[in-house]
Amino acid sequence: MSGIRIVSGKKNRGWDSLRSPVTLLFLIAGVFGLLLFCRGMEGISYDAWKVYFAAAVTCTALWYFFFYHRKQFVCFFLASLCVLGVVIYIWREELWEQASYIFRFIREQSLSESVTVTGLMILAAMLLSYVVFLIEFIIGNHVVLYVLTTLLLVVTPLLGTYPAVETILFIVLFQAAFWVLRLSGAGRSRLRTERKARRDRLTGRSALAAGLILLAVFGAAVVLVNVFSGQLYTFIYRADSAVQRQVRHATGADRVMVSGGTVSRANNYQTGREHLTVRVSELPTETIYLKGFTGGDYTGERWESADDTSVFITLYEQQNTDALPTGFSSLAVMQNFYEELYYGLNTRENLSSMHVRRQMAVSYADDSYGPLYTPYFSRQYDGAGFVSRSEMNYAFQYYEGKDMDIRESDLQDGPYIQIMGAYEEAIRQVYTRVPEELVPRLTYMCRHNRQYETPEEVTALILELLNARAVYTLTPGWTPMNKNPVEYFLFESGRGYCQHFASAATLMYRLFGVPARYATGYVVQPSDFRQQEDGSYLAEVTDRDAHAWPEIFVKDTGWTPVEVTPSQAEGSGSVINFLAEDISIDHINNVGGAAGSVLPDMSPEEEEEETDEYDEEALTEEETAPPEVDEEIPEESSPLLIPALSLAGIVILLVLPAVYLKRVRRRRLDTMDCRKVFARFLDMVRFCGFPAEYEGGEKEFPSVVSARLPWLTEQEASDMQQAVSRRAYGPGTPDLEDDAFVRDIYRRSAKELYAGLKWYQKLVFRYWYVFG
Amino acid sequence: MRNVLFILVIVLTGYIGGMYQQPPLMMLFVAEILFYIIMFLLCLLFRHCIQAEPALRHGAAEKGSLLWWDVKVRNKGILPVSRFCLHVDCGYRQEKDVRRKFLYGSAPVGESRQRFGLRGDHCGLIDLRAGWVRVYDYMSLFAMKKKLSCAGTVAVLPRDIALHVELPSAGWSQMDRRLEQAVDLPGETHNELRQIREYKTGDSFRHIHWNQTARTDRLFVKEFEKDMEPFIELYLDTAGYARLTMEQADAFYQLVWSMVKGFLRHETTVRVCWYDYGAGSLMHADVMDEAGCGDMMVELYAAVLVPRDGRSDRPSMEAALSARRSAYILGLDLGWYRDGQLLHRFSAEGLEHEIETDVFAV
Repeated sequence: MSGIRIVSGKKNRGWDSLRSPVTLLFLIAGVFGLLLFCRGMEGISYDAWKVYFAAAVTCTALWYFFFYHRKQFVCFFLASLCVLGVVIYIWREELWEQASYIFRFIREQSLSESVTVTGLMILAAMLLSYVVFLIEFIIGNHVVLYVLTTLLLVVTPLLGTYPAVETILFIVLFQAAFWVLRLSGAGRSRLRTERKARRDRLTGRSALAAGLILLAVFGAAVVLVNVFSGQLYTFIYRADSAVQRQVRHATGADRVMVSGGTVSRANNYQTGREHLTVRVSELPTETIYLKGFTGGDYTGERWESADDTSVFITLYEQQNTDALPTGFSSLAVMQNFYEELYYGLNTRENLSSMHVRRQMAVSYADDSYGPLYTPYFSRQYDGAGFVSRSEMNYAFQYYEGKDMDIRESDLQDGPYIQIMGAYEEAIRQVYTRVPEELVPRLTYMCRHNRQYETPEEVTALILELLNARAVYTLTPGWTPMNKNPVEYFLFESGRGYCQHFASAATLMYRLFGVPARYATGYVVQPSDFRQQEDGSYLAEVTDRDAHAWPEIFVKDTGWTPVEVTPSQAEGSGSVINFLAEDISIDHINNVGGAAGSVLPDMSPEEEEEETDEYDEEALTEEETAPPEVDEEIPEESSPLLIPALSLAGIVILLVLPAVYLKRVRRRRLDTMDCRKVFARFLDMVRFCGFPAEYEGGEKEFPSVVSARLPWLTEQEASDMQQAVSRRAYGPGTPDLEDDAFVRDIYRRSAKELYAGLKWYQKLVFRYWYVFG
Repeated sequence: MRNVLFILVIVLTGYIGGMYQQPPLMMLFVAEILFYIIMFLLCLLFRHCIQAEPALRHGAAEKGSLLWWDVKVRNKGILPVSRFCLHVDCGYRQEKDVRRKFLYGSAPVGESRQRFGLRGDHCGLIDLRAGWVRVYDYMSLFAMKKKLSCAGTVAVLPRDIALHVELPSAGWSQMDRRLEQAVDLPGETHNELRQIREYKTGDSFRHIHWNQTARTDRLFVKEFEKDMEPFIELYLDTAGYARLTMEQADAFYQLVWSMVKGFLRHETTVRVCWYDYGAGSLMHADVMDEAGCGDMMVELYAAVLVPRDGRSDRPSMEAALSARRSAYILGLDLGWYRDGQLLHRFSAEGLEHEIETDVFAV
């Protein structure tokens, strides 16, 4: 404005709005909240009260010196840092040892020993207090701390560390309170107030009010989440699903067919988009598994593509020897021969039952091309006699699992037996490899159940274990980034879908010495087929039919699918599933523990001994009763504990400040002059219904007051008015008798007015306004 | 922006809490939503409870000095309001540029008085208007406006310095005044009563007609034949005012003020005349004391000195030319004339120094 200047209050310095004692309370809350993050880490223990006491003392000292002894603050700050440095130097060895332990814990996520790190935590608490105080009070930037603490809350779950309720509560109180305090003093131009002290109290009260509202709201949230947790998660997943579907549809990702070995860390949202069309000559009686990907080595995040080429190279090189006296002309011929071997053998063995040989034609939706999806026990052909080339991409002749009936004893010695044996020998080395360092708990558990050996027994055991430890869901939530998806699925969350079940089962098969591979593709149920006019049966395969399963090598049938996912188990036609149904698992050593639990290190000899010992124990009748399967699933905290604690916290935080304020106000009343007492008197009577338009100086004021307050005579009211007037406009010498007189009237009126209030008004009268 | 960020935090918290199925984070998510809603309701409540009444009124202050304005803030609720913003529009009346200033404050429960100051660097009338008060919740996520209708005007007066003027008939005028005082007792004046009229600024309180005043409840004064003749007349030639800069206008007003103050030292009445294009006629103000000087300046500020619709300044000039021979004429060029002759031309740059140091015998 040219030529006009509006002069307002002094621009607030960063700390001007933080002088209220309430800020100390919230500062301590913030530091406590940050310290409580460490309590969430299993394997780290410390004496909590010492650490929190140190933090509280540090915060209090800093705050006190900063606001009440500003000139000495810098000296105090630097001197205390020097003292800390000296302490660190003196105890450097112990502190270094504790720090090394923590670094190791962060790196390895589990440790074989537990160390108390109280000293280090006390030091960390004090340093944290300094840092928070420096950023919040001296630099005066709350945004930095707000962003950091928010990131801590939302990022640490990605790393497998979950903040507890009290951690979140303290941090949020800190965030909200300082947000309010900063904004109360914000604004380039501020109106000038009467007294700075009054302004400081106002900002403190605002922060306190916001904090109390937040506490109450948090308490309500605790109750709501405990009651409606399922609905809340469902709501979140639905929202996420809707967004993801839109994104996938928009980007075309929903057209991508299943063909990979990634073990997902997230939820599985399906769109229902059609991927394939499958036509068969006869209505299937079993589930059809169309395999598009075969997984060989497990890397932790995914299954690498299984490549039998190296196996066949070995076999090819062994040709024309005693080990493999075959004479295939090329590697490709050998490989191709083997791939159709079991189909061919079954055909040869069952020539009289030609009708069980089925035809299948597969075509891609959208006229696109994708991986080859191959049914088990099949051979590819040109589809002649079944379907025209224009109606398919490729065709197979195949057998259902129940129709596979190859008996080795019926086969004469020849290339079939030779190659089958050689192949089986070769894959036993390749497809029983497990990266044990990635799945230590799974390895430990399988080693403690070595009594089961045959594929049928192992299958039954795996099914029993999976059913005991996990439930099927398409929305299991995210796996933290620093955890193995299979171990997290099996030992922590207990929730997953086909990829997790299949990966866990494949690894377990291998740990039991059964060659196994991870497979993905589509499953088509018999109920999905619709009869067509030409007598064939057609099924539309969508992304909802995408599936993952383990396949194991069975001597007389080759690679055979096993259904381990609960949602697909019914109606599965897997041979092994049939055979496993008759196996009874008497004893499962359901070990493995929860996250971060300590696994004993064993040398191979010790392992052998322990296994042998265990084998003997397993046969003992006393131990046939299976352990409680829910032991290892993390327990949920008591639903009433947290609300009760929150309520107690609310009550304490409400009562303590109220008591403190009451004392302060009472003391202050004794030192106020009669004008201020009169101002409080006016506030008090207005609260109790006195007309607000009277300022106290009106001629009729004494008569109105005495009419409304019967215990006051008109003369007393008039005397009070005159006493205040004398103080305001009279000679400079204060009359203490006037002050005492007005104070006496105030106290009498407070007592009488209080008696006539309703109960909730009394609370406000006494504890909020502290009138008396 | 703050709102958007808070909503982002809510969404992120809920997403992470849901994806990792963490009850504490879900509690935080629900608490944040509830808190967001409560802040909105709180803003509504504060808007209802708070009343901010700037005590805008008419005031006057010397150029460059501070004038304080009280703002009475009343909070009817039981919760303190941590932040509110008062929108104040102000600008010089003669300029079209009106700027808005935002003044922030906090409101404790009950009543409180807060204030802001205003300083004008140029002479003239400053119009103040408080249009809105905007209240915020504790987290300043929401803001709601409440309309105000408070307005006021500040007259920024020139510096209070008087021109040193020596009048030739000053002693006679003083004697005349004393004679007037000696005989001008109630009912004993020798001056013929001309009429009884309503009180105007500058009239002497000694001439109040109490009976008429009591009958009508309005101030009436007696006008004597001699009262028709103010001792000194000062005509202001404002032709060309539209072309003046603010600094030039300041210099002109300063000179008017100082000159009138200088004349007043001689215990005379000064009649200041100017042509008001708004009224379409010659206006005058009789100044008999300091208060009247301020009133005169306010009237002068409020006058329309610029012809409308691009017409010429001729009426103003003609009015000045038709002034009596004994009248003084002050032009916008800071030239001081009497009887067609230039008495002195003041310089804009060193005007105040000239006024304070030089003595003008006229």
